[in-house]
Amino acid sequence: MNCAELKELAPLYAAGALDAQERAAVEAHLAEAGPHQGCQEAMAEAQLTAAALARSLPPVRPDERVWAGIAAKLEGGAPRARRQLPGWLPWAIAAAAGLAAVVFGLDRNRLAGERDRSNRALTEAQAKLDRNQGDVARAEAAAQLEHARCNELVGQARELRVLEQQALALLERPGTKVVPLGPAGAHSNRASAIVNAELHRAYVLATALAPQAGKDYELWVIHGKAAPEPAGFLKELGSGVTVGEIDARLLAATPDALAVSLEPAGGRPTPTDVLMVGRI
Amino acid sequence: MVEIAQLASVRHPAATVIFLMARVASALAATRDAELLGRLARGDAAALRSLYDAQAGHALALARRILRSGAEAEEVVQEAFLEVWKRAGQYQASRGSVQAWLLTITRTRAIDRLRSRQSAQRTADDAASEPEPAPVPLPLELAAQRQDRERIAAALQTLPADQRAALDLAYFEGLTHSEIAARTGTPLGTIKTRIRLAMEKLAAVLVDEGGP
Repeated sequence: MNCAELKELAPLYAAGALDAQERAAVEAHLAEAGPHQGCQEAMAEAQLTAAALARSLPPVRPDERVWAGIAAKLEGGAPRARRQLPGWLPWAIAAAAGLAAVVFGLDRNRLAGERDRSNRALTEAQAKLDRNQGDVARAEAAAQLEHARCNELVGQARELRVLEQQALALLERPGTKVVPLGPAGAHSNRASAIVNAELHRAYVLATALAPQAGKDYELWVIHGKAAPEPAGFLKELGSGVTVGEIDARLLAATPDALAVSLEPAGGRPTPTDVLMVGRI
Repeated sequence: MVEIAQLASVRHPAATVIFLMARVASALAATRDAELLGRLARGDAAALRSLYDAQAGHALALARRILRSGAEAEEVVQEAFLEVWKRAGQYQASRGSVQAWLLTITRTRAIDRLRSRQSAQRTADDAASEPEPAPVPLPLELAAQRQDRERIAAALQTLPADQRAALDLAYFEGLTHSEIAARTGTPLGTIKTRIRLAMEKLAAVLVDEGGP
């Protein structure tokens, strides 16, 4: 098999349509030292397309036992997905009940002793039951929180999609400029701003800005020598790209520069850690 | 890293932004994949859990589609993740994403089971007798993931029916081109062409819309 033949067969290989002999020939060619003429790339693209076929199916949440089965076979164990509710409770109750049954027919002293022990076991079981109910209540509260968070995320995603479309639409308008934002100080981040001075609208698009816990990427508008004014925040689009809209009220007069800084969550009135600046 | 500022000099900026975003996202995903596989290869079980949280829903959906059996599909997903765990050191980023690798393993194992089931002459009725559990959406499946699925579904809809049918029979039913040709009474060369065209067209549509 040569490279041209492999590239011809790559889509069929990834789709799983080749017979065993052909599959082996493809794999043998890929394993050859080369030089190759785009074999790996062709195969990677075909595999990505095949993965998209799998992603066309609605994902299914696995039962927790699926991960438990995996974790049990990992050498050295593995972290648990989430805290399990106690499974010992039925056993504790059964043990207490069994204890109570055994005391019947025994002598009075022994009966009293067994009764006391039985009562203690029942008391302990009751206490464990109370704790278990507390766990259930907490689990329910967590589920409600999760549900609310899910709704919030869906809302945020819709909002971001709108923002992205608005930014792209602005690019098509006459008079729109794309302004690069270069790194400030020792930082290496870069971004771009889409600015239309006539329409008083501007968006900042950045790549490779990883979300940071407890921090926000804040936007700033700079007019002349006046202090920078807070102009909004960058939001993650979900694909490693972040986007933010500059507060239109600050664009009534064309600004001289735009900037992005990293601030504690919620932002600050003046920038503390400026990452990027771009002159308009 | 591609700079979005480069679009200032091009004629179709909106399309370019989307294209650049796709490239940026792809580069970032590759970086994340490499980091994740590095942790897996060092025996970091938390990394496997991260991969599981992100991908088990897709893997289980695929295994269940192929096997039409919830219990067997769960076993296949377990096997697939354990194989990733054991073979993380052999992963080659140049051959595709971690997701593609995991789903390939999942599919291969599911198809192996399907064939083994067929060779043991268990009838399709036996398999179908197990009620197929209804899909349960992941609670944290973000709108972006749903958009991804809808985008792929829309791309699949653009394929001619005979190409899509051939692709389905190969990918989800595990039939080779020869078996599809025999089953459908279509010349082998035609089946090969249909599958190749379907894959190429799907790739082109998905790349145009922001990457597969």
